[in-house]
Amino acid sequence: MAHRHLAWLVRLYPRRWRARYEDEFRALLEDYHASPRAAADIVWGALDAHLLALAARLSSGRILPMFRRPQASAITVFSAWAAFVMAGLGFYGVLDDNPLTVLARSYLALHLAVLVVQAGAVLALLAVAAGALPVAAALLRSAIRERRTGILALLAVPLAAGLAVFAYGAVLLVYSRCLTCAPAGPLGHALAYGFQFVVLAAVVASTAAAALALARGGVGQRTYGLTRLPAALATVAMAIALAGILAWGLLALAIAPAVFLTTPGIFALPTVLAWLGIVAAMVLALVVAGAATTGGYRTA
Amino acid sequence: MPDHTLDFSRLSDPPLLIMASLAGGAKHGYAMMQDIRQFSGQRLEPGTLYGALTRLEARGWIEPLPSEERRRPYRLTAAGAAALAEQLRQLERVAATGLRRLAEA
Repeated sequence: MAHRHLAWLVRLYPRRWRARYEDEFRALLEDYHASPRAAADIVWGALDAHLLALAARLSSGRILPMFRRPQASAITVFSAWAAFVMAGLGFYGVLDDNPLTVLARSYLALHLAVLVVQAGAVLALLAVAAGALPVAAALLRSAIRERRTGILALLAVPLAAGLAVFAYGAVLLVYSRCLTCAPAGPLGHALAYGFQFVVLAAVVASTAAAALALARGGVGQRTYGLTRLPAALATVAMAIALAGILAWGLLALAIAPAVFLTTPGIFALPTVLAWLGIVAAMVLALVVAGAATTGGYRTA
Repeated sequence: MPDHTLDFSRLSDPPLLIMASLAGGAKHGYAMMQDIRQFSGQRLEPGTLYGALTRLEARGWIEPLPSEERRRPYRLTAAGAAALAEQLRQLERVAATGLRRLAEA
């Protein structure tokens, strides 16, 4: 591992931290023996510095004012939506092969709850697309015009992640030999579990890269101002989907408590625990999106 | 075989190691790392070192001096020296008690 690789990792630190420490930190790295351990330590240090900065903002009550910048508000709502989508994928993992899905054919309320989740998810997707597409187009134009290869590389991450998921899916399909068959044998199970992690990693990497590109790109605050209404719609749609998932869990508990409490959901967890984890993640994402949307509107 | 390298967290606490190093005089980051390695056997990595330096500076226990060819030395403040002395006295009491009880056993 070369020193320049370590030096590149310094970019992961918060901007304010870099303004104060970057020069001396880089000087230290020039003297230091570069190793994977040092690289991991720097990544950990960057995460720690971000958490420290967030804690300082929280303690000083500067979180909501931070969202008064339309850019910060839009990026945060987008990231919260991505986290919400990940939790939503977990919910679909719970529904897959679950006896409660079969029961939903007989219980209209349970079926309706899933439909509400789907409606919320589609509405949120449309709202995010409506807000994100003009910003993405402006970002791409400015990156090409100003030849900012770093931004273009970040924008390529979601494409690469999508290709990786597609390639993994193709391998899984070839191994299973049919569209609807579950892969057999220990290797098949490992491949199927691996697919969940690949999807998760792809969503995390794509969201992080897109958020970083938006934060560093040269899109004006006026363009970000256009995202206010879609961001508010996306937040409302997330609330609808969450209401559907809450209703589904409560109905499942009332209709078939034994199934809800004992049937495996995702990651070998009982359905009830998987549901609780998903609800907790969605509530957190919704609170963050709500705070960012409210802060964004205070500027108007 | 007993593990004699067991990590007693207080003794390997990066802020404590950094302050103990600066008790011997102002040093920049790399000099601190070398000094700490020499007197404690602990190897601090760059991210850990600067994470601790950031916190110690925010708390007012250390302060930066003007840079020397991009390498910025740090020194203990009076408040930092007092906090370090208190920590070390506490550790000394623990060490003395532990050693006495081992000798009596």
